[in-house]
Parts: sequence; C-alpha cells; structure tokens
Amino acid sequence: MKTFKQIMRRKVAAVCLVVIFLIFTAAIFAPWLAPYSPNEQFKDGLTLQGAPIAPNSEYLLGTDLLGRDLLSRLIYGARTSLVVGILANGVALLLGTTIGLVAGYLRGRLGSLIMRVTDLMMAFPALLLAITLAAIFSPSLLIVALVIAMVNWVQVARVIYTQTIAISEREFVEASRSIGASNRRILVKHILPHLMPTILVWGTLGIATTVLLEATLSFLGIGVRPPTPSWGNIIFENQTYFITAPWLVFIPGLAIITLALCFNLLGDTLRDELDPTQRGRQ
Amino acid sequence: MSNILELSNVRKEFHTSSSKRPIVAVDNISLKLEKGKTLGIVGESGSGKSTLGRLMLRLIEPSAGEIKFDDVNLLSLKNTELRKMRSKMQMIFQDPMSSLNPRMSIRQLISEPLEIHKNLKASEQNFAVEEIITKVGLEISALDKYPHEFSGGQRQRISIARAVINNPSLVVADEPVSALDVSIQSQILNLLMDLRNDLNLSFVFISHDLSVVRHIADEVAVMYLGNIVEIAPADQLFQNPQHPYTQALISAIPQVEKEKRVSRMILKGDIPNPADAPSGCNFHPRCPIAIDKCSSITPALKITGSDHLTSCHLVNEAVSK
Repeated sequence: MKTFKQIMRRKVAAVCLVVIFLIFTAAIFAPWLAPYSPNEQFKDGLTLQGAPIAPNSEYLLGTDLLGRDLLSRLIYGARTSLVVGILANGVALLLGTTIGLVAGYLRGRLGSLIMRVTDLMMAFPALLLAITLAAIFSPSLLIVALVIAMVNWVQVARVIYTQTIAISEREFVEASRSIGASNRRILVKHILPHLMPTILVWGTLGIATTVLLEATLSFLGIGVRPPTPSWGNIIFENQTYFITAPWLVFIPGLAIITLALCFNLLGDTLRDELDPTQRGRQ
Repeated sequence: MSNILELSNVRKEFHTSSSKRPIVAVDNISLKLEKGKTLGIVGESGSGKSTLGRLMLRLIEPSAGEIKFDDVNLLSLKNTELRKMRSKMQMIFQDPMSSLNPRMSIRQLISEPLEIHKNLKASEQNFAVEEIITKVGLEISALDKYPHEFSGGQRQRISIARAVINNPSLVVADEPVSALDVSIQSQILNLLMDLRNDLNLSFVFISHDLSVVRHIADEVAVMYLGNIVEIAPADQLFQNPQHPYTQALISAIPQVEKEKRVSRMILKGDIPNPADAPSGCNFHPRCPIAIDKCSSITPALKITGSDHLTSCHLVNEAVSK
C-alpha cells in the first residue's frame, strides 16, 4: 500500500509536470498550433440568431459571442495567463518572503513598523488598490502582472512573518548563532529552508487566484486590452451565455483549474521531497 | 595559571509585560574558571543556571557586569569580532533534537563551523569532518543521514562533534545528558571527559544532577534563585557542604549502599518566583535553620574554607563547627 501510494504520488507529479509543459508549449508555439487567428470574427461563427456555435468539426471547441474560435483564443490566452500567473506570483512571493523574513527576524521597532505598513496594505481593498495602480500606469501585460503582485505580496508577508518568528525561537537557531553564524547565514541556511513548505503552498495556490484577479481586472477594463485573450477574460466576456453556451465558460474554467491543480500537486510533492523527515514517505 | 573565563558582577534582568519589577535571573555573579579545569554549576529549575551559561558566551546580553574570555572583554567586542571569537567558545545544548537543524544532513551540520571560521578545501574539510565523527564514536556512513534518523545519544554525539571540531578552548555544556536515558548518560559523560583531556578543554558543566557533576567537575558552584550560594572544589563540597541548601541537595542523592545513606533533608515548598523574590537571604523561607537576621539581611559570599565560599549567615556559627 505504502509503495503503491509512493509510486502514485510520483506518477501524479510526473503527469502534472507534463501538463504544465504542454501548456507552456502551447503558449510559446501558439501561432503554429492555433487553427485560426484568435481575434478573427468568422461570418459563419455565429448562428443566424447571433448565438455562439457549439463545438463541431470546424470549430473544435465552438465559437464565442463574437464568432471567434474558442480553441485559438484559449491557446493564445495561455500566454497571458502564464505570464500573469507566474510573473505576478513570483514577484509577490519574492517580495512577501523577503519582507516577512526580515521583519520577523529583526522584530523590534523596525520589524513592527514594516508589519504595520503591511497591515495598512491589507486593510485596503485589494481590488480598489489594483484599480488605482492600474489607472496610474497605462495597462500592459507587464503592468497588470506587477499590479497583481503589489496586491498579493501582503498575505505572503504576513504568513512568512509569523512563521519566521516561530522558527527564530527554535533552539537550532541559537545553536547556529553559538557557532558564530552570521545573520545572513542563519536566515538563508537555517530559517529559509523551513519556510519552503509555506512558500510552495502559497506559490501554487496563488496561481489560480492571480489568473482570476487578472480576469477581474480585464473585465473592469484595466487588465490586458481586448481583444487580447486571457483565460480569465474569456470567461468574463462570455458569462452572459452561461446557460445557452456553457462550454464558453466551462472550458476556460477547466483550463485554469488544470493549471492551478497541476501546480498545487507539483508543489506538494516538491514540499515533501525537500523535507528530509518526509522524504520517500507515503 | 591563567583564567579562561572571568565573570565579575554579572547580572541579567528580564522585563516582562505582566510585572513592573524585572525578573532577576542572574544576580551579580562573579566567578573564575582556570584553563583546563571543569566548573560544575548545579541548581534547581529556575535557578538561573542556563541563563548564566548563555551569558558566559554572550549568547544573551547581560544587564550589568563584565565577562572576560581568555583576557578579552567579551562585552567590548563588535558583532563581527564576537562571531570570530565564537570558534574558541562553544555550547552544547540540552536537547540535541531541537538544537540540530532537522533539514540539514549530519555532514552539513558538522562542517558548518568549519565553513564559517576556516577556509578549507573541500577535501580537507571532509577529512576533518570524518575524523571528528569517528572521534565521537559514530560511523562515517552517519554523515549522509539526517538528525531524525538517530537516537538521542547519537544526536548528542553529533552536537558534541559540532562543538569541538574547531578546537575550542572553552565548552559550556547546558544539561548535556539530562534528555538522555540513564544507560546512555554515562557513555556521553565519558566521551565528554575523553575529549576534554584530548583537546585540553576548559569546561563548564551545567546540571541539576549532583552525581553527574561530582563525576566530572573540579569545582562546583551551587545556584539558588540567581545567586551562587556556595562554590568549592568538588571533593570538598560533597564531603563538607556548608550551605543548608547544598546539604539538602546532597542528602537527596540516592545511595545504593545502606551505610552511605544519610537522613534526607526535605525542603518545604518550591523555588520562589524570581519576580517576587524573598527579602534578605533568598533561601530563608525554605531554610530549616533560618534565624531572624536571614529574612532582613542578604548574606554575601564569604570564605569558609580553602577555596570554599558560602553565602550564609550561620556558617562558621552553627553549621560548620
């Protein structure tokens, strides 16, 4: 049973890795893989009543409300969603971890000052902050990603801060100070590895929320500019057809879930493999 | 003979949010340790012995006083200088499970002091690590395992290897065997004594177990509520304890042979809360022979024998006749 589970977990991780790889490939080679241009509105792409067309041999995943090919939009949309998901998340994690780690290790006045600023950011509605930031800088993919990172790092900082305090109290930290380790060494070699599980969980959970936040921003007109597709804004554009053409919402939704799930499962495996007390178990 | 460690009037107060008065964990302690000697520090839980051990290495900052290590004033050192100094003074902690980082392999743990203080080639470093691991009685194959794969005694051997790999001149061991099974304790004690002789270490051995201290120490200090109540060469302290607290502790050591057994002196109550210490002699509420003077006047350490210091109003009068 144990061995079976062990193999299964590894297999799951392997499958996830392949799926993520495929999504990346699709994003990079979109012009060659997509059957049509993502923005072309086909004359036969809508019914006579003007409704989207269900999946058929011509349009494999059907067409959207403007008569564009959903599959092509999905493939091109992967570019936006991956850039936003990975860049925004990466920046948020990097920023949140650094700030939380430093504040938690220093504590004292400087530490609390940093955390009060973080609290302030947290008390501010995330969407409002994103809208303000997006309004100041003219929207582009990079700016959208950075705006999302600016909103998301706060929670990471909070969690890392609390964990750093708990870990700094552990005796091995004092033990490494007693052998003469510098603060930098203690932070990087002793405390950071213990934060990896948290960072991995936040990083992988964040993929889904980031992709959706991007969709919200697009919907409000401050995300990526239409007609550029992203998985999030495909859902938002087509939500009025939820009942009559459910594939328009479910298929991109499924894509987001798949991406998030694969990152989550991969993160779980990685977390266990990085922990020597868990390695090879279950 | 010069001293490796000298503490004068070292005091440590902790401030808590719950009480206005600071908690005095270590109250104006002065002591000396000669090079190559072993000082035992005994006392109950809460007597301040671990705090004193950490102060000796400036792992925590004293509130007042002076600490000299090898004639260098530790308190005057800057952070980087102090870090360099740490290769010469080491600590062994009570619980080897929590003092070893569970995410590092034994090789990483033991080579860390070398990485910090010496700039060795990889081959030299590996050689040193392999040499020390066999010296503390473990197999070289242990190096690529992780702390959770070892028993308590083995883990303590790993902590010891980590402490002595840089050839320190002073090692402070804070209850190094109390977390271990009795059967393992003597193995670890013997290892510590062998290393002390081989490496010519000066040693501070903190413990609540008098029989362990008797076994290992040249000189013993007895602590009660942040103060040293008696300090004397080990043999003298055990044969002729002068402070009533020391006498009570010694009478509590279990004896196998019937004729060696003495009548137990049983102390009433617990060690007082240091935030609310008694007036006069800290020990007077529990002392079986306390007189009026004890509750008002704090006794100072005074010479009561050769190299023997005791802080009790009644010594010379009633106890040591």
